Amino acid sequence: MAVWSQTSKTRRAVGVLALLIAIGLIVGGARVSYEVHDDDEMAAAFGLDTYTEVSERELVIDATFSGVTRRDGKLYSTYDRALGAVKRACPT
Amino acid sequence: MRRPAPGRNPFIKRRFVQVTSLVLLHSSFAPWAQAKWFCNPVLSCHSCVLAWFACPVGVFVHYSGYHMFPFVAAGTVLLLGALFGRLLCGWVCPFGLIMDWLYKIPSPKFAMPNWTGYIKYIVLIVMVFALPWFLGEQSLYSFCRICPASALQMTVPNLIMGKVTTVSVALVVKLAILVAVLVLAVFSSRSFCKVFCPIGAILAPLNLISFWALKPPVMACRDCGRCDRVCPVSGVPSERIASGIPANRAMECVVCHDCQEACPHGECPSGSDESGPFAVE
Repeated sequence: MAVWSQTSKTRRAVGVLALLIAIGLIVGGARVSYEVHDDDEMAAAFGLDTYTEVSERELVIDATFSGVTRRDGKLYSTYDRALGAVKRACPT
Repeated sequence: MRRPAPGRNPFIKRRFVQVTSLVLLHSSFAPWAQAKWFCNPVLSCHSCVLAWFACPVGVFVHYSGYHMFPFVAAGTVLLLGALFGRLLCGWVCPFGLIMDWLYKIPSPKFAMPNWTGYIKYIVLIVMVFALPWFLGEQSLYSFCRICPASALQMTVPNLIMGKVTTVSVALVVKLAILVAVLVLAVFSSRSFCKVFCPIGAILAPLNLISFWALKPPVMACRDCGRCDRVCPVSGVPSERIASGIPANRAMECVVCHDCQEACPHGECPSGSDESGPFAVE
């Protein structure tokens, strides 16, 4: 248990490492973007595959109301992205 | 830390923070001001229209279904966990507050066996990551479908407002789990937090390395056992205090500071009325 004592260098080192990883994940997430395809049957009938680039932050927000679903290895919007920010309740 | 004045409830500070958090976390009336890109590691359903922040479990469930890594969600949870450990469980989590309130109802009390604390890790791996990964984010077997916080914040209000028109098996199961969790909380303190909470499972190991630490009163401790009696998770903090280890260096500890508040340090010969043996790093 000594390794977890108040002054343990190991504990502090692991804590600092965890902080650095967390900051790295947040900074890395800020640079990531995803292709979210429009679920447009009309466009698909003409062979068009339209999509929107969304940031990690936007995808987290989409996840809170099931605004994106995954089919055939691709992400698809479940709502009209042209609409502004409004309150959206979880459809489930 | 000064000794609490006679007659004063030593735990009232935490209760005040918990109630304030409950109100503040669910007071988002303006959608443009919501910050649902930020995962607040407490059990509060982000589908609640009044919620400011995202639930990390809900985000992990969806990202597992998307087969993607949740950079921001994982980063924010790890950041807050490394800084504070499970402090948010004890001071901010709205569901933890409900657990604390229910335990005040007079009834026979018992502590959950220690081995049940491992169940939450299985819940985290299976219902938050594995099943949504294989069955999709809308799977009936993901944690969100049985989450008692979701049932309390979404399902029950929708039932009361008549928005639920069909009674499905999934709905009945979700409500039954909510009732079971609430009833169990009356008899066993923080039972859901200890046994089932996946956010607790994520934060628990971070308790061991967090920068938030209750320095132990090695010299002043007289082994009176008061800290053990008030510990809401039956964590026996006196064992760590006697070893010179911070009281919150245990995975089940919700960092409520109740052991610190209950410590009669002012009565100890080696302590003093002005400065107590406990301190926060």
